[in-house]
Amino acid sequence: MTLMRWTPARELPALPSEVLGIQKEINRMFDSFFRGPEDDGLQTTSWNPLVDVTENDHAYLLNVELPGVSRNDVKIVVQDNQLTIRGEKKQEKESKNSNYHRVERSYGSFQRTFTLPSTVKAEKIEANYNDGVLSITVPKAEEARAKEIEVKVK
Amino acid sequence: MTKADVEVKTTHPKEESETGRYRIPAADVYETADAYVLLLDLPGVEKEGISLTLEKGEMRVKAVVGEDPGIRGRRLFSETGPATFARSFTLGEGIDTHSVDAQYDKGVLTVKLYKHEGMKPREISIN
Repeated sequence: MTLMRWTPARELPALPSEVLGIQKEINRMFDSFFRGPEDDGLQTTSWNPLVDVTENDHAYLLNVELPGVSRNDVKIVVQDNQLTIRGEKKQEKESKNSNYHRVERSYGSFQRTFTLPSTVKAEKIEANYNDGVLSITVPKAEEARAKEIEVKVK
Repeated sequence: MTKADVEVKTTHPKEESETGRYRIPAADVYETADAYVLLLDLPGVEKEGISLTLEKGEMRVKAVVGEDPGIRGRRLFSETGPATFARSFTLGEGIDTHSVDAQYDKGVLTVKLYKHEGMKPREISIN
């Protein structure tokens, strides 16, 4: 099983957005400090949505938390056994000119990429978006499905 | 008007800390001329699964993630944490606790806490 988390390229740091720049910058410093050396690379995206991955006999299921993201602002691309979820969380118009007391939620662009096992039906991948959660179903190919063989005890 | 009209203080709700684990949802708080607006990330929760309680200057939010029958299986990895969200907020005196609006959309709970009449900015016309 090789459904692995992919760390985005260690490239240039994301430019702090004009409104939430300092807060984000501090968060990023803390994040990279606590994440340890493995994930310490600078990221090209502003935030990484949280993901749960579950497996059953028929499929792999990815649940991606995207609270406040519009369905139309999410893109799922499958290429060369890599499934990429990317998009943008836009800040509401009304709140842009308001006086902020606290900002903990993430805004801006996001991206996560997963390496799929070769034994999946990439063309049959389905996705649903409900209550801020994107659910992606990646069906397994026949050969990857668990087969039950009944062994008769004599 | 004092600065801390809506003080956002995370406290540990009693019942939750007794029964087990929960997540603290991320929150934004901003102020407009007539209200304070709270935005809380509650992904995966159904509207019916959210409870919002106001008592003695404290607002408690609790939400339970609806279980998706489609995701039963072996968990390969999980970043999200427990299936219950809980957080409390202390409200300042300037908040009119009788007029509160709450809306849930796309996994985000928006709570609008209106200021008391006397706390709103007032324009005085010059004769």
